[in-house]
Amino acid sequence: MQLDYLTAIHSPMHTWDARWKLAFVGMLIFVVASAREYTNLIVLYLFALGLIVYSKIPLSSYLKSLKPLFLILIMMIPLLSLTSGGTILTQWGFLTIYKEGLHLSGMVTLRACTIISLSIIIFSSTKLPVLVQALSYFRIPKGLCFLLIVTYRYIFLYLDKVDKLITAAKLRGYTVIKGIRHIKNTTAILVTLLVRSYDQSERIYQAMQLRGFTGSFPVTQHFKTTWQDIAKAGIIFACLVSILSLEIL
Amino acid sequence: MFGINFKPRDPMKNNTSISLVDCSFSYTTGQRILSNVSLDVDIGERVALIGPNGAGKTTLFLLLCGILAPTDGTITVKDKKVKHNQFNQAISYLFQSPDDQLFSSTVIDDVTFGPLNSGLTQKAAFDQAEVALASVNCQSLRDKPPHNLSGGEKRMVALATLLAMQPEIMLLDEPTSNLDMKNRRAIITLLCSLKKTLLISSHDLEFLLETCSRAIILDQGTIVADGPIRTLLADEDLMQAHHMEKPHSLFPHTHRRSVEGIPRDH
Repeated sequence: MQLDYLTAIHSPMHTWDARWKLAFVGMLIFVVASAREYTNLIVLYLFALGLIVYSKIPLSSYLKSLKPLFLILIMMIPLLSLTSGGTILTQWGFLTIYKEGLHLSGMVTLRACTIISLSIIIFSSTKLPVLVQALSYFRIPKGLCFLLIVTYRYIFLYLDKVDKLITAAKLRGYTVIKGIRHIKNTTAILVTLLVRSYDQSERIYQAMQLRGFTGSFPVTQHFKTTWQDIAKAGIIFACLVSILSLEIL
Repeated sequence: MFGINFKPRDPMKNNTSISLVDCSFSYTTGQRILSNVSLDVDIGERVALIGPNGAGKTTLFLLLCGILAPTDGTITVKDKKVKHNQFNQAISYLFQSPDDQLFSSTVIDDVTFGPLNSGLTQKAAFDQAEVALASVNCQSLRDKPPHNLSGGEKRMVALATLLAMQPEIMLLDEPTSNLDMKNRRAIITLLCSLKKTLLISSHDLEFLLETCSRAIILDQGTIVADGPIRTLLADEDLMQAHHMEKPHSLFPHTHRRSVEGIPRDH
């Protein structure tokens, strides 16, 4: 199983120093979250789409990553449009669509799509371990960084284990629907996984101890800023300043 | 006990790498795993630790590297008493499952983990790691995440994590499990070339015959035999009494004929 396969793409976004990328795309996310104007949000979303193209992320992968967000939005948009605001736009029987609710839904959709798009850019153009090592430069506690790295390492192993456990169960007549109906079977699989992971965590800690682990993890990633990194940061910064000026004016 | 203390020791010469005196270990539940185990291993000696499942082999290894503390007795490694939970660079342990050993996000991060924790500079640690990876023919895997490696590759990289620390004593728990013939042969060649004290636990008796000169049979937490590996493993009665089988290569006929049935040597 491969979760970070998009990081293998070669693009200017992929070669950008992870520290600069985190800082500037992070700031952009912050600006998106605080933007109040519709037009500014549209500009920011178009800018994010431009960065997706610049990152050479395939459209199919991009849309696939947005799928969970769409599912949430499909449930949320009608709810906001029907319950929020005072100006009635249209009415069918007991259903009333409010102008403010529709406006808010549009804002939320744009904001969420832009933030997720920018996050996709970060996670698709940098391997998680590199990203975590970059995080440690921003004074994020080393323990937390190490926890993220270990989680990244073992998440694949446990996804694989879940797959094997379900296959083993399926070979003995287990089906997902039956599993939901017979909660006992599903619980047994989850408990097995939990117990195994607990045992393994002890052995991993022993392995760390035997190699001199004292609580802090060594940083092995060497970052080097080039003028291209600064230029890319400059483009993002220009966008940030423009949007902020428009917001203030 | 069969053949214990087969090698006469020179009391004037301190050549001991590992020494256990009347060591016992029980879990807090009261379950006794090891009972009065005493043994000495010389510097540079390659010793096979064999026995049926649940005999206490892994527990013995965990005691030797200080992960567990003996309930009775003393353990000394290189003339220093082993202290519970204290990092000892002289000794390293290869876990049964490489997934327990490889916890970093890339192979090179894992192999440099130990050397960096030992206080080496980044350059020295990376140099040591590169040499270790080269010794197991895994240089091409250096930037790969461990979850993308095959079982055999994981095993070889796990061995490299030990070699990078340049320990004097290596405890290897089932080093040939999950290995294909090529990697198994590579491990045999590598282990035979190492100038280190090795204590190897394995059910692959043919592998042990090729790598070790001495064997210790552990059963139900006690040492039941200690002697030259060929003598011990050739003793059918002894092997059967402890739920093991005499290896095929120690039956004379297996040496005499090739696959086609034509006599090969005499």
